[in-house]
Amino acid sequence: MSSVLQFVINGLLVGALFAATAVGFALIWGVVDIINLAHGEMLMLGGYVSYYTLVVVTGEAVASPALALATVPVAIVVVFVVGYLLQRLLVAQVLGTDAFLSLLVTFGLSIGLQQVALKLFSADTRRIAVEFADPSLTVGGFVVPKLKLVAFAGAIALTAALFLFLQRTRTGRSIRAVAQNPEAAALVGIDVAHTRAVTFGLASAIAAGAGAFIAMILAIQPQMGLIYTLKSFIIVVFGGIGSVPGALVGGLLLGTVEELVAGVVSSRWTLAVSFGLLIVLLIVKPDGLFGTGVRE
Amino acid sequence: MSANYTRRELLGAAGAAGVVSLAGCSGLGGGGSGDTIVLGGTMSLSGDNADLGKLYQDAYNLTIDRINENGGVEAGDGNTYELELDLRDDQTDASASKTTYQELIQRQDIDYLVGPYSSTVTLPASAVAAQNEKPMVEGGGASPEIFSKGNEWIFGLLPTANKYALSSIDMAMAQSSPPESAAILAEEDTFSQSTADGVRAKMNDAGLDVVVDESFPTDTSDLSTNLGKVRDQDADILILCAHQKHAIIMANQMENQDVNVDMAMATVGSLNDAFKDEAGSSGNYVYGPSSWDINADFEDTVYGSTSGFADAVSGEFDYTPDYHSAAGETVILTFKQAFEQVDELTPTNVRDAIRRIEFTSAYGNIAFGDSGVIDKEMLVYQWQPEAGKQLVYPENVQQSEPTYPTPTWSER
Repeated sequence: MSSVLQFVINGLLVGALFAATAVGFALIWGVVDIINLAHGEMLMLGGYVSYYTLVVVTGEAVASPALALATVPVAIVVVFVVGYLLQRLLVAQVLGTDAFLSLLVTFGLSIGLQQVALKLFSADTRRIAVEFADPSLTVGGFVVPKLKLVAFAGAIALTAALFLFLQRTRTGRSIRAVAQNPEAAALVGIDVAHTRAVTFGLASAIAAGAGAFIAMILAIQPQMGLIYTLKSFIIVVFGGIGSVPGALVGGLLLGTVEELVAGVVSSRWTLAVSFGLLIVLLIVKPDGLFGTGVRE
Repeated sequence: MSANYTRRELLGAAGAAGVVSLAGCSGLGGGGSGDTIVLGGTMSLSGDNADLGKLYQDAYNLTIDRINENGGVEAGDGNTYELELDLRDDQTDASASKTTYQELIQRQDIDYLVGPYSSTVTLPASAVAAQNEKPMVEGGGASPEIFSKGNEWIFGLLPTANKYALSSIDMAMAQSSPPESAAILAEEDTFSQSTADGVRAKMNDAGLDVVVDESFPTDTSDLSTNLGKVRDQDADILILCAHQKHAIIMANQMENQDVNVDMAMATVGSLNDAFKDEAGSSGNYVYGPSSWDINADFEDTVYGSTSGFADAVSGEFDYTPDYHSAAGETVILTFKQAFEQVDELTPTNVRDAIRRIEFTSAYGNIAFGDSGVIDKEMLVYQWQPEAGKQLVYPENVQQSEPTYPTPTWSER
């Protein structure tokens, strides 16, 4: 039983990062009305921005917790700009056309970003080494790595910040208006193209923040993005398109299920179970838990 | 734009083109044009294994350049040939590699194949070589499956995967307090699963209690749950059957999962500089196997010696070569030696020559067994905090004694 609880703890810790990644994926799907297959690459870029910010400033990828955390806002800002420009210059060109075309464009973008990253950063696995005097907490016999706890808190904070931004700010209300009815939003004076680009930028920025934390607790490499895009897809279908609370719950649940499967059965079954879960959800509850469902 | 030609002019032009074509073919059938022999193949120049693929690419190119600078290959048919390499990126993808080998053979008429990297990619590529009856020499595929199918056209320079971890288990069992229990974590790919098969058999023979035996998908970037099992089951030694990415993840996550074992070894990628750069101090005390020792000096016809090869690679590419580099160099030298021994350059003659071949290179003594694979035992290295990477086993060639058992994280 204690092992099972340990797996649940592991799952919740990593699930928060899945949630922070998926929340942006859900936002783009809900507001810009495309499935962004390059979303995982935004996470990857965030990891590299964080890594190289540290290397440029200190000359090495080893940092105190405070210094490592200081690179997260840099990743968020840089990738926000990248996301904004990609939407304005590339993705906007195919909006309103065949849905298949937008899939192709974002898929091409995904491959292109991977190849650029390979050329710029090489295929070597990299990580930010964060120095703790004692790297783990032991609470009631359960091992909780301190850095994963920090990343968990950071991911929850990013998700909550996005939720509050959407609820409490004028730009957030514009984003929600465009998600509900872009024509009506345009009629009341909202710049729909700009709002969509801001949405794309915000979603990319949140993923980049998650990527920065992943660079600290796991590792980054140019071709890491696909698996996070796939996980985001599962989470969004589960939580509901455009729903921040749905993405949060979905992320935590997916992380827990994957770690339980890895711990109790075997790691080799995690993806199979995750996608099996996706199929069951599509049949049993196609609207998702919190969202407006998967539209045709 | 248009032009008018007489029938005589057209026939003349066609005749001239035919003569030129025949002349081009007469120099060397397939795989060569004039006085050049083309070696073709694919390599992981992007994708998961691009870091190791680059080592092979560099070794191939450098060795071919040196051979050509020294006058080329004086083949047994009395002609002197330059070597040329047609190496294409397979993106670490087995099916892309297979398709490319088919294209190299069928469209580019290449007769002599250099192998790709990793067993998963090499296995289907070797089948293409066999179907088309072209010899392939490879230094990057080690799964026994590659050599167990009666394929007479494949020659491998790495010990088979099931041997990779055996020396390290021998080393552990030779200690004054040998292990009683063991954990195996294996990536789900052809090579790693073959490695794990060898480890299980060896542990069974040694009487070790295997308390954790888990496989994980290649795209996993979090081993914490599996490492937690190793901790909870109190395994004495841990063998990670995987590649460099997971070796780095293992080293880093062992600390924050508080996993203390007497020996942690990774089968691939734990001995090069990139591993230590990324793992940092967490990489200390980690073990790894190598089929090659940079300090064991062998005669080499291109670089003079092993040290000459190491100096050449360090000077040209600014890194220290490891066994992947040395095996890559010897892929080219194997073909050179075979070309020198045949009266007529044909794939069958060259294959038969490779089968009989015996020579030394920077990589060591080269001869292939009946199944086409070289007979070599693995050496065991360990990263030590002060001395760096040290050859620790077998004892008769060790640079330092292994630091065994590994200090616990709280003792470091």
